Amino acid sequence: MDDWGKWRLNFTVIDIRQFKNLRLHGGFIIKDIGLTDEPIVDAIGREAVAQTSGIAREFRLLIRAGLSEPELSITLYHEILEAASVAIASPPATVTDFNEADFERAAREAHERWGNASPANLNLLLQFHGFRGQ
Amino acid sequence: MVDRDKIQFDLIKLAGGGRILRLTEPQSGLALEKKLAPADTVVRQKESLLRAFEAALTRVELAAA
Repeated sequence: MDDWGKWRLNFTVIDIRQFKNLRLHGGFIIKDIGLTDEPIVDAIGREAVAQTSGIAREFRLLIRAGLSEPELSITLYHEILEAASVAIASPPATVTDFNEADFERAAREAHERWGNASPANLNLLLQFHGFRGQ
Repeated sequence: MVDRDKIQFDLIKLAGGGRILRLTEPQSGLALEKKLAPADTVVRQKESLLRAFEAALTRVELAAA
């Protein structure tokens, strides 16, 4: 098999549409998710690469387009784990002491352990860190 | 009377590095944000910001009464 054939076999694109209206462990729902080519800039001109908004357990994600596949995967793991931890009054003990670097490390470990972020893998991540129930 | 179950949070990953946590109450429009200290726990910083936000909401409610 030539290199081109390997690339075609191994290349997996993350289709973010699979996450829309996705119900997750812990009773969380990804109501909406999008990639944008436009800069994500707030009222005072700060540029962002990702923004996760939540009300109760419903999340909306906006991610800057152009990330590599591993970067997008790690970003999804990171955003969901951190949003779940912030959204509820009593998150599992495994995440209550996490700082930003800890969330990033957990996201990178999830990507290495389970591969690209997917609905099943986001649930594995939440279960692994102690989020329970629908 | 504000509905505290409707408080929105935004976690914003800045292009220049760092993370912002913003709380917004849509009815009053009140918003409060904090750039998260990288070494401190996120949950504790959120609880601290939420306490300050709820105190501010109470002041808004009292002013409006």
